[in-house]
Amino acid sequence: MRELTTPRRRASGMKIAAWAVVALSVVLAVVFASRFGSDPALSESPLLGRPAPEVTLPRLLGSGEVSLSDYSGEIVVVNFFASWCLECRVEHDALVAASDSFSGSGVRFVGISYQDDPSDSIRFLEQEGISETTEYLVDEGSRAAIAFGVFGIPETFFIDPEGTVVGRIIGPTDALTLGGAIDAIRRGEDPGQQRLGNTRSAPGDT
Amino acid sequence: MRELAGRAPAAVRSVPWSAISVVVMAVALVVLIVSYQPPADTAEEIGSLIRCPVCQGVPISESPAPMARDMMEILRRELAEGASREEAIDAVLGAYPGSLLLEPEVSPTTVALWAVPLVALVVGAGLTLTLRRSRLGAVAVLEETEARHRLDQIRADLDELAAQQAAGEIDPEAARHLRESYEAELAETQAALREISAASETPLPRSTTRAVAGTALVVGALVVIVLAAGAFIVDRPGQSSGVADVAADPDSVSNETLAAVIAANVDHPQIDGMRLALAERYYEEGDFQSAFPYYFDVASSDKATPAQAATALTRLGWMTYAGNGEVDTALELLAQARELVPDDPFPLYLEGLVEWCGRGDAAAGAEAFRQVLRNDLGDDAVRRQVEADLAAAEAGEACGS
Repeated sequence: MRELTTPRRRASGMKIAAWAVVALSVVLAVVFASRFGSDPALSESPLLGRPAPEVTLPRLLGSGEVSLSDYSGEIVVVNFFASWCLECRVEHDALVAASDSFSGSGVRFVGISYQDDPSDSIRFLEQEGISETTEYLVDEGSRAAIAFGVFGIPETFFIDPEGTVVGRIIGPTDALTLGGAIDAIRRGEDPGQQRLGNTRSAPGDT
Repeated sequence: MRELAGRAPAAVRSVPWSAISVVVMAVALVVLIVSYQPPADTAEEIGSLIRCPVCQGVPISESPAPMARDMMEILRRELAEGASREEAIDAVLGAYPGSLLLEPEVSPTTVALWAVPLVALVVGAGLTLTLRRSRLGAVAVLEETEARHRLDQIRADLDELAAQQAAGEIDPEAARHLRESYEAELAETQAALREISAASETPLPRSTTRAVAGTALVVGALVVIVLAAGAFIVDRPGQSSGVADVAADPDSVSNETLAAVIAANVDHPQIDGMRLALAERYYEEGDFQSAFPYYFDVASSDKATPAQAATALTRLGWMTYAGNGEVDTALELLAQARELVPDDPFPLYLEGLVEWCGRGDAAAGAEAFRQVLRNDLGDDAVRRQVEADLAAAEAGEACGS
């Protein structure tokens, strides 16, 4: 006669199956919870290590257009700002001073006014200080912001002399960080990405 | 016999619920396939698949945000210029992480997301089938056992009937009725036995079904874990994906950069720490000329701590003597340093050296060295040096001889 299943053995099998289901559920929960907790705005920019976007924008102060490729051979620091961005005011002095300090040493600072009325951006610069060594541009149609993958401002990108995006700062930067990043690029290193504080996506955004 | 006859017909019993489940799933699959929509190819359709980067969970086609409108404009322009769906999406999302696509692209994560339910389905189906086969097998064994037992009983009854008839213990007519009844029951039971054999496959031994179920569980679990872990490692965003941290540490930057940083942060509360750090670098390199202005700024700064100002004054004093030979100015600076940090014997030691070496006053130098030696100098080498200087000064020897 064939072996029959006893209730005890069947219960044991069910217990093992139940534990297996529980273990699977825990593993999946951990994995997906960790995924869902990630913020795409803080994910590494796919732009890092890639050629800088070809962007040509009109000047905010004065006339004419400027292309980022005009500065090929220099380290280019691209900063997105707006008059409605509180953090942009926090970092402004450092950017102006760094731009003036590194002027003439193969480093070019570019300020791009993001989602802002040009007259408001100009007033912002007049209040906070205009760097004579920085090229201020207007991001018409958010072309540059989209090309650089901007989620919120301030954001600052570093382009090496070969035209490759090698660094990104999320949030208000400071002079020491700017200097460190520029120094790293000069040493042939990639500063990479780091977050220094909050960003704002739109006027009134808190 | 009554029990067997009372069960559901074999045709009904052979329709398993798992088969019904499979049919339902197949219908669902067909519905999914039929309802599948080809990839979107208009700007609005593509825009509905792209999450607005500056909004909360809204596709750019529905967002009033200027950024979303600008993205839609780019989509329209790209498509009007003949770009493919993929090219248009890339024009908008090329610099953004893939997670902005509401229709996720194929990646280890998305493959895992699709594979996990499929694996779970396969494992579940395997378990259901093996358990069902096991249960059917057990039922079949019981029914077959009952049927065979019944057959044996009928045959025994027939034998007993024959014996009773031979012995003349039973009326022949009654015996004939009984035999017909037994033979009919025998035929029916034999038919039921054949039906049982036909309706169910030979059941697997219990140990085999358990092994199959266990293997299915283990393999399924392993596949799920490997997929999930792979997705977790490969697609883990942000923090661990090669993001270098440029820490705001003065030691990590060059003299030139630190100088630029200092120039840019004259109002920074810790500016004197940076100045002093840079001045010390120049000083240790022997570049007094470059170090001098930074020491001077620290010495005259209102924000500098007494220790910072004393260090700057001490260095300035020594550089003034060693670099310019200005003894009086050097002694004055060193005296100012001593006032700020009376417990620090270093300015006093330098004073002694300037007195002895600069002014040629060995006695004044010796006195300074003696006061220095009353302090805890910490380092034995320093104490030996001061003791040697004291001995030389007391002996009236020339400085450095």
